[in-house]
Amino acid sequence: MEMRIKITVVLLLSGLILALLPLSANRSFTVKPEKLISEILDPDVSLTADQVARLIVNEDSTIRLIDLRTPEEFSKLSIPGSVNVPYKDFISSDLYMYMNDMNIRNILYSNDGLLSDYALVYARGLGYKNSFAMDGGLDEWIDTVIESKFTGERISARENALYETRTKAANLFIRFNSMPDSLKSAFMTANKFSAKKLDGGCE
Amino acid sequence: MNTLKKYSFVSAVFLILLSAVLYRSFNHSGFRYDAPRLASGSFNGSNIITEEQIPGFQNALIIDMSDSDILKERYNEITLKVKPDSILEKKNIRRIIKNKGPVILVSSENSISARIWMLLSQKGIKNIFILLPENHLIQPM
Repeated sequence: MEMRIKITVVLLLSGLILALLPLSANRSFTVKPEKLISEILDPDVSLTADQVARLIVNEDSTIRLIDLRTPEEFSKLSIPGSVNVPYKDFISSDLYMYMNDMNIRNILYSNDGLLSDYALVYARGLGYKNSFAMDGGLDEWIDTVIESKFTGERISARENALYETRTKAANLFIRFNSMPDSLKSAFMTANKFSAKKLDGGCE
Repeated sequence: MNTLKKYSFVSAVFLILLSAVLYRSFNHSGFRYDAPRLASGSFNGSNIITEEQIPGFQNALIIDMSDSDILKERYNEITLKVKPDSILEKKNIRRIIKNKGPVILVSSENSISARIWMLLSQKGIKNIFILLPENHLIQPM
C-alpha cells in the first residue's frame, strides 16, 4: 500500500476514535485519586465561619467568596463581597472563568455546606488548588457570627478579639443585606474606601 | 496473509489508539470522563437518604466512616467499616464495585460523606448515596 493511503487510513481511524470520545473529556479530573483524597481530607482546605469573618473584616484581597446557592437565595441573603455561581452552573461551566487566578483563594459556601463540599472536590479534582470550603455554610455563619452573644462575666483578650471580629462582620452583613441589590456593589466599594481611610497611615 | 502484511502498519496504529481509548475509558484507578455528568447526581439531592430508607434498598452496602459502631450493630452484615483516607484501597474499591446494590456512605461529619461521594462518583461508581440525619433538609436546585 502506498504511504499516502496508509496515512489517510490512519487519520480516518484516528478521527473515528476521537469522535467516540465524550465531548466533555477535557473536563475530567486530572489529579491522581490518592493525591486528591489526601487533599480533600486535609483540614486546611476547610475554613471556619470565624476564619472567614476575619478575612472579610480585614478586607483580605487574596480571597474570593463563591456563593453556590440559587440567585433567589443569594439576592435575599449573602456574605458581603461574595459572587453568586449556582452549584449547577459551577459544575457545568468551565471553572477557569472563576478560578484562573492562582493567587486568589476561592472560598466556596452553600446553605449547609454540602454543595460546597461537592464543589470543593470537583474544583480540586480539576486541578484548582486555590479552592476551599467554608465549614457548615451560611447556616453555620449565621449561628457563629451573626447570632454570637457573650454571656460570661469575664472576657479574655482572645475572646474579646474574636467577639469584636464577629460583631464587625455581623454589622457589615446586616447593613449589606438590608440594601437593594443595586446599591450592594457601591456599598462594598465605599466601605473599602472608608475602612482604608480609617486605617490611617501615610500614602 | 499478504493482505494482513499489507495493512500491518495501519492495524498497529489503530490498535494502539484503540487500546489507549479503552484504557482511559475503563480504567478504575483513575477518574472517568465527563466530570459534570458524573456529578449530576448531587444536583437535586436525590443522592441523600435517611436511615428509614435503608430497609427499602436491596443488596445495600453501608460504608461506615464514622467513629461510632451504631450502624455496625444495626446492620452488621452489610456494613463495611472504613477510614475515609483508606476508601481508595484496592480491597475497598473492589468490594464497592462488586456490590450489586446501592452503596451508602456514612460519616460523623456530613462534609466527609459529601466529599467521598464526589470522589467515588468521579471514579465512575454509580448508585451511591449519603446517609444524613432525618432532620437534614435538602433544597432542590
